[in-house]
This record gives sequence, structure tokens and C-alpha cells, in this order.
Amino acid sequence: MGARLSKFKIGDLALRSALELERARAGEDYDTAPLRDLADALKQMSMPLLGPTGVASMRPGYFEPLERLYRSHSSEAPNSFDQISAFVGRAIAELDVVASNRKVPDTLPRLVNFCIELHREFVRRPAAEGRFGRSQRSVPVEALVC
Amino acid sequence: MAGHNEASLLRLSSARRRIDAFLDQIDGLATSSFPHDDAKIALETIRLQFVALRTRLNMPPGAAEALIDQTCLHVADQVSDYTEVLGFILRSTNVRNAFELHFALKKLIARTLGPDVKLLISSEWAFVPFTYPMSIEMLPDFVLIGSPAPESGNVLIAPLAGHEIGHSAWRKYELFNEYSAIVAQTVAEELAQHPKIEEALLHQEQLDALGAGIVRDRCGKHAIHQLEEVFCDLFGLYLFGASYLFAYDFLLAPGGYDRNLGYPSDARRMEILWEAAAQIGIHADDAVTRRWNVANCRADARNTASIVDAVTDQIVPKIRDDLFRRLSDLDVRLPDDETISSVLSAFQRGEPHARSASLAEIISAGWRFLRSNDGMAAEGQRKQYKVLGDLMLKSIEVAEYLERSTTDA
Repeated sequence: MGARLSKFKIGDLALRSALELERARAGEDYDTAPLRDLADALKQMSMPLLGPTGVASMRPGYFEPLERLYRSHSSEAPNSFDQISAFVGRAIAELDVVASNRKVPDTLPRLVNFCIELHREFVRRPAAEGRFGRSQRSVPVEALVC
Repeated sequence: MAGHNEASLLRLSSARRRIDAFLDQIDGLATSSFPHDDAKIALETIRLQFVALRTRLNMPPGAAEALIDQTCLHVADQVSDYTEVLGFILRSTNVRNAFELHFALKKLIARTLGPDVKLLISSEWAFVPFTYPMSIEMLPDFVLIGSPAPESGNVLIAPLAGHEIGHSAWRKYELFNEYSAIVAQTVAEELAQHPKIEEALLHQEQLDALGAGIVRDRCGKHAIHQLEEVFCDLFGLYLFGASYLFAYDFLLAPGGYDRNLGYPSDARRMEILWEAAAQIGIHADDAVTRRWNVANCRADARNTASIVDAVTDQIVPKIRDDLFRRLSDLDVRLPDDETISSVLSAFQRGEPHARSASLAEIISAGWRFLRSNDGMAAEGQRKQYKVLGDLMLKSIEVAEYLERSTTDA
């Protein structure tokens, strides 16, 4: 059970990949499996063109975080779905290159950032300061004090 | 540790100590007396993954500070999440739990999810039952079922476990992947048929050129969550028959309050269940379908809700038919009315049922007995209600004994 990729799993793969990329950059031995797995996972996020509406799509809930990721990496706002697909496609190609042990690309710092931000987007949580907070009650506090 | 600045060193060492303390806690818990091996296996599975997580803190010299910070944050989140799971595992040892359910529920899980899936049953100090099975990434082969502590001995609401096993089934059957395309397509078609709604959503969210994609994505995300919830309801219905409807009514009726777009409205869920029950010949008291409140949908969510609800309604028949076909192919048996009557007769005589019966049949008979005794909540009925609980538990034990003795023979 549990083979399917979730956003959490992809985010976790992204963080592991960032670590392996940094190991590669430092000239250390690195594990190529997370890089390969992340590239495969990213390939699975897109879906084919859809029937009569002719709309290219991603799996529900995946487009918006990737669109935000694109915006944080580019000075220009995206104006088509294809731009975001191409952006993800570039990351996949670069991951494949490092995974094949062929070479460490000059763009590695950008790829590390892509992975870290992918983790942030896919494992999105409430603000860390919430750790000091109290749990939500079923009756909102306003209803008790106002 | 060379090549890191002071802030990085401080954070990495904090993260390591955090994991070490967590691992110590696991070692302490492992000495507890567990009623089933599944809890021990869960602890060991979590332990190994945290040992692996600790090695991820061995950063190469000069590693990006953003990577160090994000990894430390990830460790903090994981420790936080799994501290709750450790508490769940500890509470699974409490004698308040209905251990009699373990064999019967595990049998259902083995039939629907496979023989290797493990089960933990616990009681929670929150009245939000069954909160854990949806996304415990470190324990993908476990179903965790928790019930609110005051109800942990209440067999009548055990059918709600069917919903939670359904979440594991949704993952196991890889239904997110299976239904993603049809959801995305139906959302696109629904928006195309309602251009004014799409326009209103784009305007409301102040979205730019790619806004239509974001609107589709948000609607699709809500719709697939709704469909998962419907799937889980239908899964519980098929496994537990009419008793699922009564347990659902016990937990959620009369519904209402604020609408969460990740769920169909409580009333709509009951309608879907009622129609599905009729389709597979499950008979229940229609009191469960009456007087559900209409949940309040925020003004800014109404346009999204109209699209999402329409998409869900269009896909529900396919989800339902696919599921019922799959469960039938897996030889999952619907509760048998004759056996329910036989169990009910035994309860009416004040005896446990002495012959073979499924968990669903025993609980369905329990609900019939309760309904035929005016709900068993009057002052003078508390003892009778407790006796009903005992009769159900004994009947479950008898069924387990009969099955084990047949298997052993």
C-alpha cells in the first residue's frame, strides 16, 4: 500500500534532492536516486490535453503552487500554461543530467533553490510561530468572549 | 561541521537533539505492553525513518543556508506530527479500547486492502473521531483508527471506521491518479458552461492571464477532495450497511454550521448514501435522512461551491459504481438481512449471537435493537443500553472464535 505520489512525497523528494545536489557541488559522493525519482514525479504531474475543451492541465491542486514557484524564479509573470510546463521541463532535464552523473551544471544553485521552494510549496503549513499557539477549538473564541 | 556559520551550527545541533529526544521516547514506548504486534512494528518503522532523517542533517561544507533552514524546519514538522502519532500508539494500549474489534476490522482491511496492512485502534481525547489514517507518510501500510475516549467502548459507532479504511483504500487503489483527468475535464466543461461564474471568480481573485488555470486548479482540488470523502462514505456503507447510516447520523446530524468546500454538504452526503443504499438493497430507517441543516457557505465561496458541487455530482455515479464493482470482485459481502434478524432475535432474548455473523451484521442488529427500544436513552434504560454493548462485544468474540476454530481445523 502507499505507492502513490502525494504532494508531501514529492516535496520530501525535492528536499532530499537539494541535499544531494549540494553534495555533488561540494565534490562529495551523492545519491542519484532522489534526483531520478523527483524527475519522474515531476513528469507525472502533467496530464494530456483534455477532450473537447482542449485544455492542457495538471493534476488537481498542482498547478497553482507551480505557478507561484515560476513567479518566484522569473522576473516576468507567466502568460501561458506552456511557460510553466517548460519551466518544470527544464528542471527535469537538469535533474536528469546530475542523476546520470554526467556533470554538475552551472545552473546548480538555481536547481537547488527550485527544489527547496518546491518543498515549501508542496509541504505548505501554517506559520512556524503557530507552534506557540493553542489548538483550535470547535467553538471559536470570539463566540465565547463577544 | 566545518564550513557552516554559527546560526547554521546552532540550528543543525538543535534539530539533531530534537530527533535524539524523539528516538529516546520511542525506545521508552517500545517497552510498553501492546495487545497486538502491529503497534511495535509501527514504532520500529517510525524509528528507522527518523534515524534516516537524522543523517540528512549531515550537510556538506558550504551548503546553502536555505537548505539547512528548510531541512531543520522539516525535522521540526516531522517531530511535531509524529509526536501525536506516538501518543496515539501509547493510547492504543489503554484497556478502555474495544480490543474485541481488532480481529474483525483487520479481516475487513485484509479483504479490501491486502493481507499485509496493519491496524492500530486507539481512543482520542478529542471528539473528532478517526483522525489519523489519511496521510501518515511514514506508515503507509497502517490503518490507524481512533475513537473519542467517551465513545471508545461504543461498538455502535465502529462503522465510522469504514470511512477511514476508505481513505487508505483511496490511496491503495491510486484513485487520485485514476480520477484526476476526469475531474479536471469536468471542471473545465462546467466553467465553460457558466462563463459568468468563471468571470466572477477571476474578478474576485484579481487573477491575471493565467487566472483561468488557477480557477480550474482550485475547483479541481476541492472537487477531488469531495470525491474522496464520498468514496469513503460509500466504502463505509458497503462494508457496514445500514449501521453506517446510523453511525453517520450519530456523528454529524443535523449538520450545518459553515461549509467546508473539501466536503459535500452533510445533507448531500446523506442523500448520496441513501441513494446508494437503495441501489445495493440496504434497507434503513429513513429517519436518518430527515431535517438536515443547510450549511452556511461564505459569500466569497459560493461561486466556487456551485462549480465544485456540480462537478462532484456528475462524477459520483462513476465513483460509486466503480467502487461497488471493485468490492464485489474482492468478494466483500454485503450484510445479510437474515443474519441480522437472527442476531437481533438473540439480543431480544438477552443472549449473544451464538453463530457466525459479520461485524456489520452484529452492529446492524444492535442499531435495530436500539431503534426498537426508543433509542435507549431514558433514565431506566442505561443498564439495558450497557447490556446491548456487552451483547454486541460478546457476539463479536463468538464470531471470532468460530472463525479461528474453523481456520485452525
